[in-house]
Amino acid sequence: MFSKILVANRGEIAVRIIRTCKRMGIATVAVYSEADQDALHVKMADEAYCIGPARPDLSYLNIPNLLSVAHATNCEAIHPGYGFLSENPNFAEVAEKCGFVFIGPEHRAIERMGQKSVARELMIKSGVPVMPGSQSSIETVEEGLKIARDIGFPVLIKATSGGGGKGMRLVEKEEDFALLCEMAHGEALASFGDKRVYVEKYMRNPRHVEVQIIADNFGKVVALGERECSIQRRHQKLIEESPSPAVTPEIRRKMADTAIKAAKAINYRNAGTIEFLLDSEGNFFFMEMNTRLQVEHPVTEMVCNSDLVELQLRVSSGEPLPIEEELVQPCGWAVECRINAEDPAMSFIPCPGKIHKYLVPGGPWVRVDSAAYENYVVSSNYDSMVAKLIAWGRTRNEALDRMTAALKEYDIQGIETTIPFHLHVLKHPDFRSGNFSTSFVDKHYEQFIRELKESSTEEKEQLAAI
Amino acid sequence: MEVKQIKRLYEAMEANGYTTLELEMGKNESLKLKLDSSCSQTVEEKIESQEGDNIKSTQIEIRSDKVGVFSFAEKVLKVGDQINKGEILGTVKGISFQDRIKCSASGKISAVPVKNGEVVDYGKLLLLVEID
Repeated sequence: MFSKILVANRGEIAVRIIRTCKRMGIATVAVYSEADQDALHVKMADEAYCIGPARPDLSYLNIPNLLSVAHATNCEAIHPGYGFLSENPNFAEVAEKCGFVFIGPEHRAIERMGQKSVARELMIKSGVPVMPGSQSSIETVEEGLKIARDIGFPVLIKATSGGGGKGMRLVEKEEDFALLCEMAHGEALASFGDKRVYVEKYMRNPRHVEVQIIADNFGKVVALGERECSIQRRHQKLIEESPSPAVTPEIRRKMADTAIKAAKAINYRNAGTIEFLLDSEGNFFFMEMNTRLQVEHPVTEMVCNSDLVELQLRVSSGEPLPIEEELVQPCGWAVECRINAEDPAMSFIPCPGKIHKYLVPGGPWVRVDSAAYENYVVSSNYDSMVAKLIAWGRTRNEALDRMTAALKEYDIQGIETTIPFHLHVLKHPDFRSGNFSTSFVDKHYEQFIRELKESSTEEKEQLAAI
Repeated sequence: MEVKQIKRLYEAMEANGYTTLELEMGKNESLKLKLDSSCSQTVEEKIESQEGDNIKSTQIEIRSDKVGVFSFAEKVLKVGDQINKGEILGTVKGISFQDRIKCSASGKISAVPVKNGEVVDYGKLLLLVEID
């Protein structure tokens, strides 16, 4: 096992990684930008070094400075967390060449999976179901249109090097194809420096279900069940749970087998997530693979009784996976709410600022992964996530009830947060029934706004009565 | 190799913080480029003026703008040492670069908050110089 590692990230994930390292007796070196001098990860690590100004490209993405810290402090390995450089094949490669273990997959696997159409082509070759569409990037508009006609409209035009919905266009009718294809090319070029696009069938109201896998250096791949991530807004997940209410033991087995097959096809190592679109008939299709630890990994940890960061550290240091079975069966139910510094009443506009009061919920079956504290300033330089609140129960309803109680106990003042929205979703009959899709938030947003206004009027009336 | 190509190499070195570059082109041809650190401004300086009792003193803060191991150049500097403009006072060595620490004016060292062999980070104050 390593004796000292560099944590090349900030916020809750840096804190999360440092916690496991402390428990395992591994020394940690934190890095921070000038905006993060008072950050929790800086206080918690054994050593901390400033690597640049607030701007991420000058600090958390500054590869020479990160590697110089690792070198000067004699670190053996680097954990990239999620975001920033975690899916940058160049960083993984340079880190390895400089003699550090990159805690993640090999750089070639990151590169292949990062190119969406390459990943798609690889999955087709390995027999993994993908949405019908072009085998790889399209050469001309005519070629794309022919494929679209064959698979039938609506179709999606997606950026080859894309992600996060950028460079993506939904085409409902044949006559719109050429124009939208040009727009997708332009956006793909502007966002990723690569204008290539590919075409795939568009599924209406799918569910987003993903399988967590982890692989060691000896060819063993284990699936740690699935996560349901359909409650999202503009491709940003808000609530995740494990298991998925739509996944039967048969679907779980099939999904896990497929995910394991996909991982083995690219000789994958370390933790990874294979995202699928699931239709109402139980058919699922490969969407993409995330070659890193996911934000929502705690729900998997809660139902699989494992520490994913520990497993990452173990396989990276050359240990075999300490798990016997190929598919870990979920025990109970876990749900996670992302508490963001966003105003849900104003279309989730980010609202960074100082947290004046901060009281976290507690008690059994409640977990808070956060880097916030009283008087902490949520910076506008980075993403708006303040905390992840996770609750566990024996059944789904029990987990959701415990989450509701914990959300009500969470007292964050000074900034707006997504807590009121989570409370609304948690009591919504469609969500409670388990029968929802990725269109849930769009479909129910107006109702939420209405209820929010009504409840604030009621509060005012109550106050006036007193 | 054309002058234009060499110029482009220099620009690439500067952009990536490299101080030397060796190129082998065929059997008998090789090129070695050395970038003087006065070309690559890698050390932040802040000049502070204080006026009081009609005595004007100007201080220069020499800070590191990279992360690496600091070493003094010729000798370990101490408060009161006289230094010259452009003199190499020390180096910050990272994994892929070595920055030479210089002062843009002559003067007297007034504080040495850095130790020889210390890991310095971005913005770390290395030396305070009282300008002549």
